Parts: sequence; structure tokens; C-alpha cells
Amino acid sequence: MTGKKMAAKHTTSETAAPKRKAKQATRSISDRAAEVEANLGGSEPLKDFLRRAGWY
Amino acid sequence: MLSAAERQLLVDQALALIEHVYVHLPLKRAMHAVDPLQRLRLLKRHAASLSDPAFHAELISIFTRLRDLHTTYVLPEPLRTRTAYLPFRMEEYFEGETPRYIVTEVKAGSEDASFKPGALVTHWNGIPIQRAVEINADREAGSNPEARYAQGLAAMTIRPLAMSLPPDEEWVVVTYRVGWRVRERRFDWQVFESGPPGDSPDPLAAANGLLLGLDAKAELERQARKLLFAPDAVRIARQVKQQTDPVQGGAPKAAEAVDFSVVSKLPDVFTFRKVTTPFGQFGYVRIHTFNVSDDTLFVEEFIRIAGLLPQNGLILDVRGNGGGNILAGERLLQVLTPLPVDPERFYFINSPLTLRICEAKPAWFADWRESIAQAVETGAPFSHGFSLRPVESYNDIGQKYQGPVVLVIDARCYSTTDIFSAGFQDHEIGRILGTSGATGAGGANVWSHGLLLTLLPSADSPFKPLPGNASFSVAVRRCTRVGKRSGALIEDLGVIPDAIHRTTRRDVLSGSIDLINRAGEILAAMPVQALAAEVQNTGATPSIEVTTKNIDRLDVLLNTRPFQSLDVLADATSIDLPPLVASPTTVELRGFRGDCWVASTRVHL
Repeated sequence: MTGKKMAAKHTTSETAAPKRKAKQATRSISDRAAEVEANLGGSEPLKDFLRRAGWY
Repeated sequence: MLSAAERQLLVDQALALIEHVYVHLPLKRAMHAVDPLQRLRLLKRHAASLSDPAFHAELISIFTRLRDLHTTYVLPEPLRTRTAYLPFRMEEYFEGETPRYIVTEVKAGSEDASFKPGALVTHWNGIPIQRAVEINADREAGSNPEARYAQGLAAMTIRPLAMSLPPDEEWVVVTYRVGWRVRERRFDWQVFESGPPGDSPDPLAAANGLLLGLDAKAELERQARKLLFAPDAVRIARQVKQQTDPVQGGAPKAAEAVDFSVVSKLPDVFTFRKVTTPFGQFGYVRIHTFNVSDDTLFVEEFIRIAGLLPQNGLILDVRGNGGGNILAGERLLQVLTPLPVDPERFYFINSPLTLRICEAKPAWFADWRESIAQAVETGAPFSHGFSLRPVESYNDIGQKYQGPVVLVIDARCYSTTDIFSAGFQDHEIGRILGTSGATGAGGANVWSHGLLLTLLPSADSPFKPLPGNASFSVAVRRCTRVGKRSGALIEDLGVIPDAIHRTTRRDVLSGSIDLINRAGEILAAMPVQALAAEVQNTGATPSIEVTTKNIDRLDVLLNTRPFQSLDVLADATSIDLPPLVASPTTVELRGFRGDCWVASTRVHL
């Protein structure tokens, strides 16, 4: 393997880990957000609820 | 929409409650210069001409101005079961004497690169943040200015619509600072259908019980915060339920087994850990709520937790605890003190209606009935005062934690938490450290309109079913303190701490670290003692092996009768007991240092 190719490979492996971590973090945030919404039983904008309830 | 007749009914029922049952009416008239009866009469006259929101707003306002979180109007469906929220929590801390407002929690999925814990809020819809909190606080019912302010701050981002009007604004523009960069972000108010997470009783239904002392709105807010910002805690509560109640919770998976050496069996009620401070390692227990249906289970779990923690000092943190079951609070005191607990006295207001209530249930209210009946002759405004249960009920377990204790309070401590804090101070159990100048000052037993309807169900009862699942709650029995402060009211006055700690930025962002260090400093200056006994021989002539620390005299009682008094010459002492004449036999050991009774323990033979 040439030095240039080795450097390229090294760069790829170094940048892949943070990308993977970022992807995992994003998935973890979205999982957590979904868990919170499930605990709440869903939520909606207050204005929609109040209109439906005849408050306005 | 309520019909005109339904509105009249609501106002009539409010009048009956406030005029004839509400125990604090004379106090509130004097303390806050309010006339709720006249406002209700005016509302009755104008009710038909008002819109639904305006009618509810006026009724809520009449109750709010009583400055009593016990005495409330609970709005009908669909508002009753909804909670409005913004997806973050904002807390106050101090830089010197200057209050700052900081984002401490953000709902998962709502944070971004800059709006996250640590963002400093400067304006709210263009209003300087401190003024915005003050405006909100004026709409809240807290008994003293600090309590109102704390309530107003909490209501900036969470509002249970059962007891608060919906926000006027549909969205909020928050101006905040991260470092020196100033940013703005708009948040729409959201709403969800509330329900109690875990095992906590529904706060709005809890007042159907006889022995409640609860700020139901604070409890709803606490439960909402848990759902919004603490999914881990919700998950743990579910796992605990599976493990402790497999019938309802379903069989636990092995991987999900909860370690009860670090998690409470009542995870919605207690959290605990060992804390290391510059002054030593101590136990830390947070009591989030007294809202439990079984006070014995509550006390037993506290004893289990206290046994897992260092015995040289305990930080007992009840900040934000809106109360709950009064027996849970008052019966817990005995676990922390060697002295017999003298519970608080509760009083009805004297009126033909409170007499009728007491006569309807003589088994429950016999103690109070006589003095209310006498009021025709004595002219006394209040009944005589009695504890809610016989005094023995508050001393049936005895001391279990003998180390020094620091109680941490704030302005959101209310009702049962006020009563617990007052008992802690009146029995000189330890020192009280406050992040505000007083507790929330709710000194009463609260009943719901539904409970009154149950007590007086007959056709000629003044209480009638309410429309749309609306309700009222009302303070029916006020309480007074004991010991050196005997007769003092809690309502509107609260419990004054021995020392104040101004909340710091590190406190709100890093687990109350400075507060805990301050509590540790106080604990380190308090004497530590220990007294333990173990039965050595259970035969005809039993003996017990006693170990002591910092105790120089022991008094021994057998089945409450004095048996022996001896000077302690070493850390271990053996005591031979007489041949047993009664079974079971309880041996009580009382440890003294000088003339002070500093520790107790009981063993059963």
C-alpha cells in the first residue's frame, strides 16, 4: 500500500468513528424523544385543543 | 359549555363551602383583605352574561385570591385532565443577591445547539424575565410572597389546566444568552392528557380521602415534569412495579431487575444516595411527595433506605414536596427522634354545617363534635383541637435513625410537608436549611367537594353533584404547632429555617452540590450518637448486648415500665433481663448524654 493510500485509509477510519457516534447520538435522541411522547400519551398544540374544546 | 343553571349550581356550592366549611376564612379576610363571599354573590348575579372562559376565570380568581393552595376550584372536563407545557424547565439561582433564570431541563427532541441546560433566560415575550415571573406569580395562590413567586416560576412552563386558566398566549418567545451571544427562540404551548405516572394516587381524586394535606397543583406539575424530563425515572418506576407487583406489572425480565440497594421500592416517592462533601460522607434522601395511599408502607420504606446509608448524618431534602397523606408525614417523625412525638392539633370552624358533618360520622369526628355543639354558648370561632389519630399511632415504631439530621426546605414545601417540617422543628430533631425564608405555609387538612357529598348524601344535603366532573377542594381543619411553638399557626406563616442557602448555578445544573456541601458542613458540627441492641439469649432469663457511641447513661424499660438505669462505662454493655412474665416483651433502651435524651431503640423478645 502506498503512503498516499495509507494516509487516505487512516483519514477515512478516523472520520468514520465520529460520524458513527453522531449517528448513534441522533438515534438515541430520537429514541428518547419517542419514549417521552409515549409516556405523555401524545401531545398537541394548545391552540388546537382549546379550539376543539370551544374555549375560543 | 356550561348552562346557566350549571353556573348557578357551581357558585352556590362554592358559597356553601366558603361560608360554612372553610376553616381559614377569618384568617384570610384579615391577612389578605379579601371578601370571597361578596365576589361569589356578584358572580352569581352576572354569571349568565359571561362567556365560559370569563366565568371560569372569575371563579378561579376568587379562589386564588384566598392565597390558599388547598382551597381551589377544579375546572370541568376537558380542561380537568389536561396539562399545558413548554418543552423546557427554567429555575432560579443567585449571583450574589441578583436572581438569574436558567434553563435546567429540555424535553428530548426540543434541544438544539444553543438552547440546552445552561442557557440563561433574559426576556419572556420581550418582558424582562424577573418582571415576567412576578406578573405570573400574582396569578398564583401561594400563602406568602416567596411561595407565590415560586409557584409563578413553576407555572411559566407547566400549567395543569384543572386549576389554572390556559395561557393567554399561544406561543412564547424566549430571549436567552449562551456565553455572550444573545438568541431568541419561539415555543408553542403544547398540551397532553395528564395521568399519574407510577403508583402515586391521582392528586385530584386524593382529596376524597379524609387525611390529606396536599397542593394538588404542585403534585400535578411534579408528575408532568417527570413525564417530560425524566424518562429514565418513569422506566425505573415501571420496572419496580414489575418486580414488586408481578400481578399488575407483569413478570420482570432478568436484565431489568432493579437493585433495591440504590433504588427505592417507592421510586416516585424516594430517591437516595451517599454524598461526599468536604465535611465527610453522609446519607441523602429526597422525599419527592407524601402523596401515598399507605402511610405504613411509606414509613417502612424510609426505614429501609435510612438503614442503607451512613449513620453519621442524614440530609433529608423535601424541596418542592407539595405534601400528601398527613399520617405519612407525622408518623415519619418518630423514626428520627428518641422523644415521643406529639402530633399537631386540628380544628374545624364552628358552624351548623360542620356540626352536621361531625354528627353524620360520630365514629370519625366524636372528639370535635362536642366543642362545636358548645359554640352556641361559648361563642368560640373554632372547635377544640385534636390529633387526627390517637397519639399512640405516631409512636408505635420509635427511633430508627439516630445520627444527626438536616432538613432542607423551600417555598414550595406545602401542607403535609409544612406539617412534617414544623414537627421536625418543634421536636428539635435537627437543623433546617432553607433555600427560601419559609415553607409554603399550608396548615390544614383538605377535603374535596366529592368527599363532603359522600359524608352528607341525603336529599336535603347542602352539597349537590357538580357538572362536567368539576370540583372544589377546601381546607376544613386547620392545624397548630406543638412544643415551644404550641398553638402557632402554619397557614400563611410556614416554617422558618435555621439557616438560608442561596441556590447557586452549580446547584441547579450539578445536583445541588453547593447546597449539599452546606448541609454537610452543618451536619459535621452536630454530635453523632448511636445505640443498638441485640438479643443474646431468648431463654427463660434473656439478656441483650448493647453497643453505644457518645452516650453515658442507659435507661431500660420492659413493656413501657422502668426496669433499670445504668451508667455506660464502655461501648459495649451486657444487660441481664428478669425472667419473662409476659409475651411478647418489648425492651426499650433510652440513651442519655448528660441530661439530654439523645437516642432510643427497641427490641422485641
